[in-house]
Amino acid sequence: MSNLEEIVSNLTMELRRGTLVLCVLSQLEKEQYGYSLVQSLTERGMIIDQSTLYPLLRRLEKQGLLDSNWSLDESRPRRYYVLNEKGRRVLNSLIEEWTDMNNTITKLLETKNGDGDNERLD
Amino acid sequence: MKDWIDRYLYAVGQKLPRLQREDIKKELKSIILDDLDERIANQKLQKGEDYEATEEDVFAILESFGSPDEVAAKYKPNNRYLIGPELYELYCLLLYIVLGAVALGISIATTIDILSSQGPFIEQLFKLPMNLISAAVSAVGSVTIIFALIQRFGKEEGIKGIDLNKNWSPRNLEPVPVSYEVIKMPDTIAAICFTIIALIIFNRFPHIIAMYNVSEGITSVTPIFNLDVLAGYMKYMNILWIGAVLLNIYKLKVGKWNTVLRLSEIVIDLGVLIIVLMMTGNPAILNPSIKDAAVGTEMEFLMKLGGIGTVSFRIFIAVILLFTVFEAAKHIYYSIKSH
Repeated sequence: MSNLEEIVSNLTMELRRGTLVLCVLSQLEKEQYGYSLVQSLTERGMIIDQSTLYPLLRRLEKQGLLDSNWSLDESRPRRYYVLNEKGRRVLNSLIEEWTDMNNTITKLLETKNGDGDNERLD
Repeated sequence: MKDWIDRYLYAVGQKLPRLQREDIKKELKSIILDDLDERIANQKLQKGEDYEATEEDVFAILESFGSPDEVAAKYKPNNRYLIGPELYELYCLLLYIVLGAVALGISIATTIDILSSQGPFIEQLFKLPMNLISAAVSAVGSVTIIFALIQRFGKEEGIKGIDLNKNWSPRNLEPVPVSYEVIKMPDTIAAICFTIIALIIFNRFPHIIAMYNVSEGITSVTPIFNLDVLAGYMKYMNILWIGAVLLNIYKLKVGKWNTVLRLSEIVIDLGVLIIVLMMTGNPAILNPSIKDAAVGTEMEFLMKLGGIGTVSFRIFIAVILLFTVFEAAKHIYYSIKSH
């Protein structure tokens, strides 16, 4: 990998890392277990490393944003995660933050000085 | 086939915190099995309904999860520092202070030890770096262990409270020192080293400042100084030299000249100059047998150089005098300039 590609790939990874929690929380309005969550993220184009996702779920649970329970009704026991009240409030705040950030960045990228009047950057 | 999964889970489990181990393993197992089912279903779609799952399928899944070390590491808390960023500044600061204090203490203790013992000089001199190194290693070690323990067992909020930069305010910023106000570290450290070496040699081993004359395989050693007379001057010289060492250590700490420092420097320089002048003005300072020892050797020219009242002697005195006056004048000039 050339130096340039490496830099880009590292920076992209950092960008994604920051948005990971938001992506995961957004998919947990209704109960999901590990595998179904990976599927639902992948289907929507968010590819996430499994070994990153599961520890993240546990961390979010520890922070009190998710509830989890073992379901024994199926062929094998599965751990289901779902947003709780606190998690839902955090998600809503994060969505607001994301929307603001997205608007700002979009403006920044469209124009040279952010006033919306200039030509697009090369 | 399940055996591989169990091996994998066991390997991950070994690296996990004990309390969460079983729970995480159970969850990982259900996820891996889900993944495996999905893979087998896909294989059946591609290769027909009678596809039998193989070990390769299991390996592919396990490889996609990553090595047990990696997987376990992701379950551990993020801040896996020996000494985290909040503590690092304080750690460095304490390390310097402790190292400085230990170095000073050991230097003084070892110097006294060398001065008061009777062993051969070179062997004795080796004691100092040896003692310094071992003391420095244990000082760094204990400070590090203490900080690592605070990091490991300290409450997160408590550690954040220790952060040195928390109470920072722009009002407390020091003015940028002008170049002539900056004390040069290497010079100061060199001065400390040379002064300590001079202290050791002139007090404990003045006899090694000698003329070494090798003839027919036998080395004859004739000390240059009359040791009794020299000792009389050393009493005063020691006060100045120890003063100079302390002053230089203090200079290292403050890093910036101020009037008091400059005055102390002038006082010590002048004091040393006066003693040197007194010594050179006293013919009794030389070992009476030095002239005889020098006769007939390649050292003979030294005797011509060294005689009191000769031109070369006057030049020698003049150089020392000029140098000291120049240094003093420089300090006075800058001292006035900075006000």
